[in-house]
Amino acid sequence: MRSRFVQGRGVGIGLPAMLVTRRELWEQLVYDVTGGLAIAACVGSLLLIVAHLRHFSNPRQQKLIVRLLLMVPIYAIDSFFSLRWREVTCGSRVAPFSR
Amino acid sequence: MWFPGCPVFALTIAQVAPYLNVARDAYEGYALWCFFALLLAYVEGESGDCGLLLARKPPVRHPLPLCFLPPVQAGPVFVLWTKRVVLQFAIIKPLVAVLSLVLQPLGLLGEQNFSPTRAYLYFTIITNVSVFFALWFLVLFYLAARDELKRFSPVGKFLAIKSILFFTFWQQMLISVLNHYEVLTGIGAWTQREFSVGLQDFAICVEMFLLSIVHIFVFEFQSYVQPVSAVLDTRFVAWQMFRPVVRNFAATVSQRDVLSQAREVLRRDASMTARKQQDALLSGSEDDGDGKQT
Repeated sequence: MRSRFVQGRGVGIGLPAMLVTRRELWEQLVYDVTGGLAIAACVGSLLLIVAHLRHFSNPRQQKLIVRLLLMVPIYAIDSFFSLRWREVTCGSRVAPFSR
Repeated sequence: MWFPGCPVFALTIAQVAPYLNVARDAYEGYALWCFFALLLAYVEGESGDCGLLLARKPPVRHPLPLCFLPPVQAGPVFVLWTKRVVLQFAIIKPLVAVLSLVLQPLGLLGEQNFSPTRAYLYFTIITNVSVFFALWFLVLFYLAARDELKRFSPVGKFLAIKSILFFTFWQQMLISVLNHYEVLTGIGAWTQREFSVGLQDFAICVEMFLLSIVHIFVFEFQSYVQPVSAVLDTRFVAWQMFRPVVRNFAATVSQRDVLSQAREVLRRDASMTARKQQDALLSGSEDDGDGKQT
């Protein structure tokens, strides 16, 4: 089971992954919940960013606001990736730069 | 690329993942600078210089834990030093992130391990001190410019940004302390280390979701909406709506304003200029004050 997982099979989000990899249920649940939250956060803040960019009446302020809003997708995506592919980011099994 | 079991995707992630973490850490410092620049933009409004605006104010007293320090006179010198201190954090934070990335494969980092022979302890101390100074100066700036900032409700924005920065920061500290005393253990196929890092990632994902909701109210766009001046051509409507978005996004991504501000702040004679400005202003305003009092 471990070796299959390390090979990186499975999509990560959604039920189809359960058919491909044999993970424990709670692990899959963690991936699904985290991925869902991350996607929702990204979509929400991207909509707000587009709204700001459409009504760009005060560039000096709104430029900075958009940059601050970009933080949410960056953090959400990074956290989800490092949770989902944790053996890579943790460096416990696969050290970075090993290839 | 998303095809199950496709080696390309796993390999891409494996190559990108360490850099993503660095990018996140670097963005933290950048975001703090952007927040401060936003406060400056609010204070200055359409025109005017922040330092000159604040120089007429009474001196700012330090808040509670450091209230024994002498009060600070807000003015050009104070604003310049606030800029420098916040910029200092925006430089040190990515620097530490890049250094950790370099030191980790060499085995010198010792992440989440407060051993004096590993770099993680010193990086933690440096980041702590840097964060402390940046935040302290931001608070002083807020106290000085409180009246100007009042109508922009800066506290909500401050918390919206601060909660990202400092939740993640203190979470990391808490988890590494728990790890140090071996409170956390591995679960199932997860090692202790994976579990502690995963816990933090999970917490960040939940917080980002909540923050994306909070941001809709804190950084609302409704106040920037202006009545439509030009009626859209009936052809290519989607393109006409889409084009300004792309153009404005390009303007946002361009870092020219940040770089020019940083260059201005770090110039050697910036301090001298600010001092001169402040002296001229203070001698002028003292006369005014005397005139009003008598």
